[in-house]
Amino acid sequence: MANKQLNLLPAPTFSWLGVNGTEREIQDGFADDIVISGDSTNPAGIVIEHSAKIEISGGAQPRTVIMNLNAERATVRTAVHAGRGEQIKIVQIVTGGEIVSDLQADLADRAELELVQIYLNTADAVSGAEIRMNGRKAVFTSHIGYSLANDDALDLNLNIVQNGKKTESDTTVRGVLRGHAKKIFRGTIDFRNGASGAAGTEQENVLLLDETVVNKTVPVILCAEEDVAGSHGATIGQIDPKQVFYMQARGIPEAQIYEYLAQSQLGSIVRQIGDAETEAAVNRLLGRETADE
Amino acid sequence: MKQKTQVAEIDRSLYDFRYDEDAADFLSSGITPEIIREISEEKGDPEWMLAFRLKSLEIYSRMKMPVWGPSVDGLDMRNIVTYIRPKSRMNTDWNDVPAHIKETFERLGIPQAERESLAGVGAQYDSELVYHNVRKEVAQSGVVYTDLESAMHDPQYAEIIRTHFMKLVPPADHKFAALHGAVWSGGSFVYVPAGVKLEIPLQSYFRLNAKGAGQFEHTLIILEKNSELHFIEGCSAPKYYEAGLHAGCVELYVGKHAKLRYSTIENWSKNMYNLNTKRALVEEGGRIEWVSGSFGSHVSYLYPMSILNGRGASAEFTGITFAGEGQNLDTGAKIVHNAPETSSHIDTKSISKSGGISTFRSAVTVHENAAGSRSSVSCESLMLDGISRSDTIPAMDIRTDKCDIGHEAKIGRISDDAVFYLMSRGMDEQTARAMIVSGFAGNVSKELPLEYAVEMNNLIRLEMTGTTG
Repeated sequence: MANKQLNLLPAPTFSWLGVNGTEREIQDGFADDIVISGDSTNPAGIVIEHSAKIEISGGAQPRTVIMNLNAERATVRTAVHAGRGEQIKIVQIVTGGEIVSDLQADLADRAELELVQIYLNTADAVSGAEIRMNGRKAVFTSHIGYSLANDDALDLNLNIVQNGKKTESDTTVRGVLRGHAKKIFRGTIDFRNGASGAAGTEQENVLLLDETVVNKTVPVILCAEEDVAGSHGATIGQIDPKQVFYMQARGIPEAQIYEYLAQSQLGSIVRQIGDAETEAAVNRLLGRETADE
Repeated sequence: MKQKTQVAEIDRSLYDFRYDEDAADFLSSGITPEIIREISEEKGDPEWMLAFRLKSLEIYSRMKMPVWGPSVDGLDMRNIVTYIRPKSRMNTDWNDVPAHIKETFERLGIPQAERESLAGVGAQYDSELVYHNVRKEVAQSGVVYTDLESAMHDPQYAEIIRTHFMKLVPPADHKFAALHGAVWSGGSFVYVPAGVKLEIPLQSYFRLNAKGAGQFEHTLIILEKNSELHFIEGCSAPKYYEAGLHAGCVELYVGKHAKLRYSTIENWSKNMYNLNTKRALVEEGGRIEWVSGSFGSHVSYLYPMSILNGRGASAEFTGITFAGEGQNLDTGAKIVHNAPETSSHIDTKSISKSGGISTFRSAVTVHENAAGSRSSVSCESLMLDGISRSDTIPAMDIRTDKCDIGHEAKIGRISDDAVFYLMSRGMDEQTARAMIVSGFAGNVSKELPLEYAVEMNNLIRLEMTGTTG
């Protein structure tokens, strides 16, 4: 076991904000070593309950890997190699306790990586991803959703490095915070010199449902290339009172309105999973949160 | 062949003149308790101020350099002279100011601006105020505009200074705030009584003439309830090869339902490290408006902070940063929502060219007690070539559900579609591109009084020449 600095912001900012990184105790070694390469059969899903090292490569056909991370305490390291023209989709459903997840991806020419991450009631999750888009016309799309309540904590870091010409990235993050939940999202689009014609967008939408939540959002654009188009946006706050009034006027009780809107907040992310069984399981978990309260 | 836009470097010829330094008294370079005592004695500090300076020096000695932001490795404090007294005391008659200093400010247009559009003027040359004057009718309304040292020695204001000085920016805030606390000299004190609304601005102009020197002026402004003021600050220095340092401090107290606009056109020379700290405390219903143009210096760290401390207080920050060759300008704003129904808006533009680095950095924090607050942040960056750099590093820390926070940022180059549109209306490409870049800077120029907007446009001098790109 050793303490390690994780989720470092690529360009640190004011120290007093406490967003430049975090420190966690990391377990030594991995219980499982999983390799999914060109000739492997696409698994319907991987259930990870212990520390694991996972290596994923693309193949002739588009590959989808669904990872279900549910552990009391685990470190998961995922390496993704998307070769020329390969298409890989990774779905990570993260629930449970003290989870440290790190994903490193390399994208070659015209490679496409789609990442769907959903975090549900994580007691203390730290999740980092670095996507290195070295190939020309590589494409990265990510859909990230989280629903946290009680004393849940989530520390997210997504670093998209656009080295290749005409690369494209698009990140959508949607979340709901209740109770005393705490969340940090750092999202960086890093346009390197030479990445002419590259484009990157990032948008986070956070719904806050209790006055005791803590939300930190750090959307960063780093740019060393003239011929790029980058944008990011964030909207953080409460449910629009006009929406509540509209639904009340149709006879829906106020408490129910908040639950509907909270569930719909993640709906567009859940639909990106693309696997009916997993989507149903996630929707059940989201519904169960409602029942528990 | 493709034509590329060429935006000229800021023309600094207006500011790059200097005079011999034998007209001034220099203390030794470096920072030691002996030098601090010497500064204190020179200025006739009261005892509490000497103790404050020495305590600040202690803090400075144990604090570390910032671990984020541009490098300040080229700044060797052992070589910086922290106090230079021009051989002229403070004057209220322009004719009494020594000729070479008078000529400096005349070339910068300060007396003319005073005659035409200002309610009062302060002029600092190196470490000391050399001129301060306020219009008779303004003084009669109870407005105080004087140098900070005079106010500190005036029994009427001494206690006000003591209870407000470096309370908003304590020396432990960061290393250069501590340095300021130890060696500060010069600056202005403004007091606007309740209900007094100044319709024309006050201005302080800071000029650092000596090489290898630092300027550490302190500006303290207090607005009582229902009062209004527009304060303008200008800064410049001639260029030297030795590093210079500006570590000023601005503390603004905006009372209930008072309104303060603080405008800055900063054009330090490219050997300067501009490590300035500005902070405003805004009470119930009060409003602070920052208008900021950052064009000069080698390295800048500048993030005016607004603390919205009373219900309904508001802040607006409008800024432009132009980073050219050899410049690393790290600018932005900080907003603290610390009361219900507070609101803030940040609108910034930045331009990078010829290897310049421009960074927008912000922090918006909304505390638990700030229910009903709103904030919006908008920043746009324009890259004019492939050897420059432009970064955007905003952060939001939100601790209540009853708020609406929005942020948007864009980065890119001049749009070909926009150029094409203007060319289809009969403009040549250079004119079209020039118009687009001028319009990009318009958010700040439209917020400045006309004569300052003209000065800013002269500074930018967005001359377009067609060369092969």
